[in-house]
Amino acid sequence: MSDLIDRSIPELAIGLREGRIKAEALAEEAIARHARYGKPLNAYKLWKPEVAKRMARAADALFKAGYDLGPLQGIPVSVKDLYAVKGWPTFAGSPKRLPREFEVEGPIIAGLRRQHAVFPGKTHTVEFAYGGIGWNPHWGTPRNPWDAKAHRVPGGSSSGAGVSLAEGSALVALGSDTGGSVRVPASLTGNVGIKTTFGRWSTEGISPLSPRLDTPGILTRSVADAAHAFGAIDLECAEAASVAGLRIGVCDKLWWDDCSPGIAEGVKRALDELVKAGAKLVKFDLPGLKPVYDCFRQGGIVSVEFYSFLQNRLPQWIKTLDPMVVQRFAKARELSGVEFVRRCQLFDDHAKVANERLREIDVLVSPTVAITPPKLKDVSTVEGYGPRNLLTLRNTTIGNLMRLCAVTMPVALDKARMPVGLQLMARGGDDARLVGIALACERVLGTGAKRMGLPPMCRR
Amino acid sequence: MADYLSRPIADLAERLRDGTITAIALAEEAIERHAKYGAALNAYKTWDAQRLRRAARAADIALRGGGPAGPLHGMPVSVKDLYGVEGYPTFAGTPTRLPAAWEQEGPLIRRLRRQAAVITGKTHTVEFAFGGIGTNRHWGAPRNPWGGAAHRISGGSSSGAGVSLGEGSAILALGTDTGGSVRLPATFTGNVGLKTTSGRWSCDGIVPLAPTLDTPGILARSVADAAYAFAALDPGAPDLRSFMTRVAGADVAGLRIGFSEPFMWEDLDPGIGAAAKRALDEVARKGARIVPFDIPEFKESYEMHLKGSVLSVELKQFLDDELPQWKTTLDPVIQRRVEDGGSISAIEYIRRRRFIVEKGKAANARLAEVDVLVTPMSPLSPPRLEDVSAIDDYVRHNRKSFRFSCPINNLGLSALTIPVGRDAAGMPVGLQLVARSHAEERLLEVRAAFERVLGTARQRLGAPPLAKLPTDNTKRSQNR
Repeated sequence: MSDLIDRSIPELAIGLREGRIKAEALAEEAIARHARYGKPLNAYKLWKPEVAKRMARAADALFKAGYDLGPLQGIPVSVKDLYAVKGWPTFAGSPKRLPREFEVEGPIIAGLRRQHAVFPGKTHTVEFAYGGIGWNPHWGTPRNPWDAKAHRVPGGSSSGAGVSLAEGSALVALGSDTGGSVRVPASLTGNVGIKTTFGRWSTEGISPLSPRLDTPGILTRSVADAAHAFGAIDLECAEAASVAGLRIGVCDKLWWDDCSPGIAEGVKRALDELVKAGAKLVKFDLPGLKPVYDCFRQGGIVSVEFYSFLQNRLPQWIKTLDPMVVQRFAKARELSGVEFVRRCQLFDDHAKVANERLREIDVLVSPTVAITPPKLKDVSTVEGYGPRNLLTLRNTTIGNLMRLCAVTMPVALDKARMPVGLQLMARGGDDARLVGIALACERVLGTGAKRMGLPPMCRR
Repeated sequence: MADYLSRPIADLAERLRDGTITAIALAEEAIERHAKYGAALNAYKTWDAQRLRRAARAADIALRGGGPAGPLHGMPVSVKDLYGVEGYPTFAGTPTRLPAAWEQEGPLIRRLRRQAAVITGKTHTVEFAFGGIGTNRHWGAPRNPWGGAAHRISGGSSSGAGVSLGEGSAILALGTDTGGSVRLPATFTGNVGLKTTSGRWSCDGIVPLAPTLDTPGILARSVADAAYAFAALDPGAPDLRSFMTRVAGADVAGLRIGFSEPFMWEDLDPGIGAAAKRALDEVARKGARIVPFDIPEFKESYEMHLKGSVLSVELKQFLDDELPQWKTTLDPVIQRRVEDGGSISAIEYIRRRRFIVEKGKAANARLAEVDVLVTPMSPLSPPRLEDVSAIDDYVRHNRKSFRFSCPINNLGLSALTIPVGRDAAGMPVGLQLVARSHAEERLLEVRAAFERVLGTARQRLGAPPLAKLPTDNTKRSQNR
């Protein structure tokens, strides 16, 4: 097998435009990779090789006729099954196909279609994206390719997104992030993830979880790929920053507590390398961190917004919900309107202050996920699932509640030889600048593939 | 009295610049008018003539020194007592002064200041702006200058705003509008009222009622004044001169005017429907097209508003967390609605928020088919104070008052009211023009076109019968 698909997207994009590389060949490689690795990994809810080939041929024909319609023309992009894609059913991780209004494409898919990206299929998601582990009792939990012996979880809720990149059936994976659902699976599968600032990219055409927090995002194998894809969807372009003089804020509270062996160490090692390249570590206390996290632990606003959505739009879907999800509804039903408004107010007030304070540094860092991806058997009971789910989302959810933008990039393997992500966070609206910083960091640290090699279940 | 203050703002601004008049002369005129009518009309919670004079003198000095600071330089403007204004206490219609944090100025007041406008004082408001009638058991209800010998209500919650224009102590009044609180007092007092689209003007520095629906707005005596003030205050302001030219040249010919029956034209107090329809006929004769128009979201959102919409929940959260002591002195009518907010579940609250967003989208889409939708501004003729003093009567009238105004807030649209006639009781009748979100500029143009056909408020309604007001002393005791 040739290895077109292992090249960086910027490189492929040039090849496609110079006619040296065919989108169809790329699609065929993606299909072959899926045939080779796909079965045990179970990344896709819907796999459409024929559609992908057709789309790739269209991209090629356009290139040949001199049409360059956008940076992702001809590039395979997997789509989380929360996004509406015309002609494809949306299940949103539930056992039943959602009504047709959930198949009306939003601006992100429509934009990618206009630039003739290639869609090979829809990736698995946690049921209605409610959970950070990746667990799904209806369709099975995709397998994390980094452990060949045990079935470890891939992270969620975009549970198939990172896996689709690892197996090589897509070069960009669309996800959505309400409390970490892009960054967690990216981190646990050794990929890069971008969570955009709330409101920056439209969530139209994406089944909602918590409309006050939902944000679209992307997963890729490297920051270079992420920057390319970001520029294809966003109005701004990310330019590489410089690591020399970069003020990196480190908050020694919460984010570093209870980390599994090797995680804090792996992140700190990467930070040391950045310091050697000229970055400065600054002690930084994110104001409001504790009250915001405490409010999240008390239930926050996601469960009640989610329940309200189901009750109004999809009442038939409540009775088939995963019991792990249902048990979190009891409190939501009892919550008063006043308490809900109070929580929103609390988040907004702290977000305002935090965003102001973040001007003092260039970027704030933490481990993306505190724990090593659990084994499936350890999360298949309510008692096992609850605390691990909370800990999985702890470090990422702050970014949603505080209205920040965030990136995760793979920097090490932990004691269990599972990937460790470095989370970079910045003020809301600074998405392009943040991606530029991540790009500079990657130039110092190297890509995930360079640092960690390939996942054992996807060795070439 | 020189009677400068009866002139259009643009005219005054020009005279100020060419030196024909001074800001202090305008201020003295405002003070004189207030001295004459103020006690009877009770427009202001805080009136400070010394501060007013100081500001006017400063404006004159600034004008001689560096030229005009902005379009509203030296213009007397009244401010609803919900806005923080440095040097003035904020009561927000409550019996107790609010903490100093509520006296900090937000962007809108800062814009006034930067233009060296002269703040005349702080006008009365319904307690926490929660009510459309304009009564206030702590400070008395301002008196509608059109009521003559009878004390009729002035509309609320910006209850003193329209009255300050009526007595002539201000030529522009700042209000806020959560369910009609700019447009109702404007229509009841025969003025023009503009409610901005939610989010267009910042609500920072204003005591909130329901942050997701609150909008600042202005009351003015004519379309030209409102357009001038809008261009002066809007952060994305259109160029004032070209905007005023555009507004002045607007024409009704070819306008598509949406007309929606029956909800918006039934159960109107005597004379309101006739006056509004007469105005429409005149506009139609000049070439506007009256188009039957269906917008079910209007009635649906009124019905939700009757259940409290999101107001009672958001106000209760605010009072619980920020001003718990103020809950103990609430007007019982308001107290009841705030407590209602405590019984609404988060799920119901979210359902209402979603209703607002989704119905708003649908209404916006429909409104693309017309230039404006017209409705009577209020189905209610401003009642006599004694007719709303019993709680049940108050509730009934209040619910009726905001029938056509609250849908605008709940659907996130832009709207304004223009006085077009008098009802059977001789009180002013307003016509509401409604357009999509963020259509303020277009609305002002359409409204100017209407005014060219219909005449200004003064031409159409005459002047409020201020001479019929009772003398000072009797009224002052009644008001407290």
